[in-house]
Amino acid sequence: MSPSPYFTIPFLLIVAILQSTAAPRLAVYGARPDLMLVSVIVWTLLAAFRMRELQYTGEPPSLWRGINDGVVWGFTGGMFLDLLSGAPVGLSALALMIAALVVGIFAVGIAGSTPILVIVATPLGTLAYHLVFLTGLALTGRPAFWSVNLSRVILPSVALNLALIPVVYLLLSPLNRQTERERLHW
Amino acid sequence: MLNRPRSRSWALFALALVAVVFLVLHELGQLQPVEDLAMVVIGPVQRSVASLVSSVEDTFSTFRDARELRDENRQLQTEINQLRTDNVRLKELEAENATLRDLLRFARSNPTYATLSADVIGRDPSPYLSTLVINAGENRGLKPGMPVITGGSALVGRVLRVGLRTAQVQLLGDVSSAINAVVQNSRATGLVRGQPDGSLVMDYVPQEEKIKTGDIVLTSGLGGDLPRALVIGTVTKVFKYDIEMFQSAALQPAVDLNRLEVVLVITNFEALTAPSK
Repeated sequence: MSPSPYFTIPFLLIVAILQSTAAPRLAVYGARPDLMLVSVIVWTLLAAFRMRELQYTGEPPSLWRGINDGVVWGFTGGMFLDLLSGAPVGLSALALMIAALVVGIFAVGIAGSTPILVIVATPLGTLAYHLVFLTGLALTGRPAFWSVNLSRVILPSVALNLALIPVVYLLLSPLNRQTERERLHW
Repeated sequence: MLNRPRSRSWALFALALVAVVFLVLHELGQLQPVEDLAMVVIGPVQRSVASLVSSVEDTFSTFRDARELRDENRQLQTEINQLRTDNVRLKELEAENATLRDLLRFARSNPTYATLSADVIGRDPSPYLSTLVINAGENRGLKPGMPVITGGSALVGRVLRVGLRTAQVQLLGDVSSAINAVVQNSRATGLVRGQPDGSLVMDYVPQEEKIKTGDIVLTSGLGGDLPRALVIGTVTKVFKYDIEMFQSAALQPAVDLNRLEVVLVITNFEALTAPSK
């Protein structure tokens, strides 16, 4: 089961457009806020936390369902980003799916309070995304400049995403609850 | 009972007579002292009452004026807002006009080029790539590889990918971008490449060539994929080491690649070709 496409597709399309228009203007040195990545991380965390809660009810769903939600968001959002990017089509989708997988496995598998899990999961997801993206660029014949990009893009992105994640978490949390309610009604 | 109306009539008649007498006396000037005395008594009271009336009137007038002023203020505020909006719009139009004038000047001074203008509508969402999205695509005849410039014959980049109504432009600062270039003064040739931070470096300049800070770097036209003499940037630093085969130079792009709004795509130009036998 994946989240309602009536919500997911328009929402992620808007995020992708914002990522292409607004985010470059908010760049701090080389790093920009990864609106799409943060949205995918937050949705994965919300879905994973929800599945963990449901484990304690009578009929527990699979933990993978929570991770699956995030991966679906990663794929959809990544494809939108790829359409607006000069990167090979599918690379952003792949990087975001892997980031969602890493965050989901971490959130489902590790016990801890929500804020701590969010704070730890964000750098994990950001690192996974950038490493996969840069590897993909390198494999498709573009220079990766690993050390330069680590200091100029990846580490500042971790900081920016950590600053951004509480806002996105607060925005998406009610939407996630609403989506789940609609899904249960179906 | 019957006498009462008659006595009242007499009283009225008497009063009228007194009034007429006063009138006559006034006209004769005989009443002046009495009038003066009366005014001495009445004058201050009249002044006080007049002042009070004036204050009351002023108070009402103030309320009325305040209401009018508020209305006027609201109207003026609306006008100011409208004027501000107009002003912003005019400034935008002025800036756009200047950009378009530059582009038109380029098109006029290079009549052999076929060009079309396009608006920048987006940037690459990835921090690792320097590309733009413009609002022209196959529908306007764009093809990958076409040069993209802006005012003052400054090269911006090349069309990378073409969609139906949009196209992606690879900027000079992209790490995959490589442009054959020539230094305007010394005619030294090299390859201008983008760096991870979006800056430009001219590589593969032979050691014996003389380049210095401030030199202007242009497209050389070699390879035939770009027109000659488009401005790439200015040399800001020269890196020359005796142990290396080539020297290189850091360049300042001729235009701020992060602030592009309108660009010109050269859809056709006379490329440098090898002479036919």
